Amino acid sequence: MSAFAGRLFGPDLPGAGVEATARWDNDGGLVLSHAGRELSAADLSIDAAGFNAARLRLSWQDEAGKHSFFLETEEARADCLAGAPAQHAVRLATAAGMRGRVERRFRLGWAALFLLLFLPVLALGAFFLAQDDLADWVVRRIPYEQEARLGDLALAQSRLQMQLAESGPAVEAIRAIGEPLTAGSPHRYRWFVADQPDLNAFAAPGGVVVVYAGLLRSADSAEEIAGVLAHEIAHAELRHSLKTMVKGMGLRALVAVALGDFSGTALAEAAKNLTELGFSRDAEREADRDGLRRLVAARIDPGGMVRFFEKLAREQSMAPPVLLSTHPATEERIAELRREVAALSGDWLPLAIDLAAARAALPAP
Amino acid sequence: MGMDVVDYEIFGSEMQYVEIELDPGEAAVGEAGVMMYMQDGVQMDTVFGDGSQQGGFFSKVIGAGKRLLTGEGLFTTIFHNEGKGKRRVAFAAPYPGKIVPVKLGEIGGTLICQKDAFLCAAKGVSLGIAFQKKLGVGLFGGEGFIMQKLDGDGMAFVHAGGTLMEKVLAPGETLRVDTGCIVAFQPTVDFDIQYVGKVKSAIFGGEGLYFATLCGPGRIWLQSLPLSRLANRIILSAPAAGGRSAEQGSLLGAGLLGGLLGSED
Repeated sequence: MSAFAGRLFGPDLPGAGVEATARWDNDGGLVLSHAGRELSAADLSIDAAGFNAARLRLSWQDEAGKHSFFLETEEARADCLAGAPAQHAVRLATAAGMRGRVERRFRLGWAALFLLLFLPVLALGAFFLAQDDLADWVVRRIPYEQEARLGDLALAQSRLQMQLAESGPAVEAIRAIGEPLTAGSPHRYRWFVADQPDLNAFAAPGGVVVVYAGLLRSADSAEEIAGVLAHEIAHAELRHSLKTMVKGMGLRALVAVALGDFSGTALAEAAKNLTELGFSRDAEREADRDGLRRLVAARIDPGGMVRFFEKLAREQSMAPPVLLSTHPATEERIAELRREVAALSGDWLPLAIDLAAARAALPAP
Repeated sequence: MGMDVVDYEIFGSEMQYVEIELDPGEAAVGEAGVMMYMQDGVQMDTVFGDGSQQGGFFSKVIGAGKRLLTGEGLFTTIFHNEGKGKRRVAFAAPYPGKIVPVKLGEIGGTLICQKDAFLCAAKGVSLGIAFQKKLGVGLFGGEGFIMQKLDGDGMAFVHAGGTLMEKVLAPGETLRVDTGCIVAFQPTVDFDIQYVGKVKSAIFGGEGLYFATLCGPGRIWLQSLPLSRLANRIILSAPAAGGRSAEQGSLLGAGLLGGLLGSED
């Protein structure tokens, strides 16, 4: 049975203890030796003691007084455990448990502190990971009337920047093309034509669709306009602008909390950019697919959508249209659309829209 | 780890300094800024970490980081004797109190001390940190979560504020200590806290909510006046901070009357 080293304290020993070695005897006692002297111990009590309860203490009482033997190193502890008689097994395990408990609580305490300090940062990280689901969850709880009011707000802002026509042949043409695409919508759609030369259209929250005059002029057929409208209606139906806004607001609020900035500017900022929202590439792709589905459901030739996107891509090389700067109409997107359209077949109903009359009603550029 | 054996002498009574004699080739490690004087032939060398690590850059960085945690500098200064004969270097205590020489070999090689108690040591003594892992003790024990650990078997000098009390605790002997008064103890000593006992004394007794308890066996060192307590009193009685200035010289002036009527600090 191997001996193990430690530090022995006792009534007739130096106060700071002496180095000693110990070994188990046959009947559960301990035989200690230091400086050539031998000492035997019986009725041991075993616990974890010392700074941080990091040491194993074997203590006993004899005629002279109370003695303690401390195991200071891991090897000594291992040797002691290896040779320990079975009757001490429970107490040795309890002592090891005491030491482990101190250690565990300490780690737990630091982990809690760390968590508390870094909670906003962690929340930010979690938000980034789950922002789509979170935004969906929030957006589902926003009633459509509220969304319509946001649309009004966006409309009011647009009016400051451009002239919006609410009636006239052009608006009627847009309505006639767009209305069949909005089947089953909870929104009440409102259609506008802006007297802007750009090749652009946008959908504000709550069913506000604004088509720029430039787009009407450059479209060769009603199907092409239908394609653009289907895309914009898809944005509105999928509530993309709300989602983007919620994401942005949540992000800003979290950043404000993380940075400790509670001045409230974050929310004001978010409300300001209602019409200037860019959608993510995923949202664009989703709108492409949903738009295509709407076209097919309305029996409108989806080839117009592809043709118009190709036109946009061509225009891009000359002067970058605004529609493209927010809509990443990449070759990849067009290719994907073309592939999907090619897979579709059916007898499309021709759109009976007098585009020329609508164009003629537009104010001169 | 080769320890350098140093001879030393402590001078002064309440504001002490320790003079260490270095044989040729011997060295001592000092806390930054505590060196008082050194003789010709003693070279001063500032190293990253505590001068005991022999390892690579990384272990030095870790050592230095630990030193930063205990509130010390990133660098330690090593004073080594490059001369032919014996040379002396002295380290002065930074505030009133006593310098405690501890021979680490005699107490088993490790000493746990309060985090800014270290003054100087023979080269080869390693300065580490010992986290107080009992949460209650860390929060209420008066010494915080970070304590200093000196390892080695050479001489180390720590510093205590006020008067030093050195005591040996027998196995199982417990001493209740006001928080903040602990300077150092052997690692076999159980450092814990104990609730003061009565709500009334906890609130009005002025000793705080908890006592620190030290349970033997082992040697302990206590200080009668922690620096923070002294500093607190000085600030409180400083006229600039709203304290009373007790003028000397005028018997009938504000000094005497104020002294009679005013409360005694």
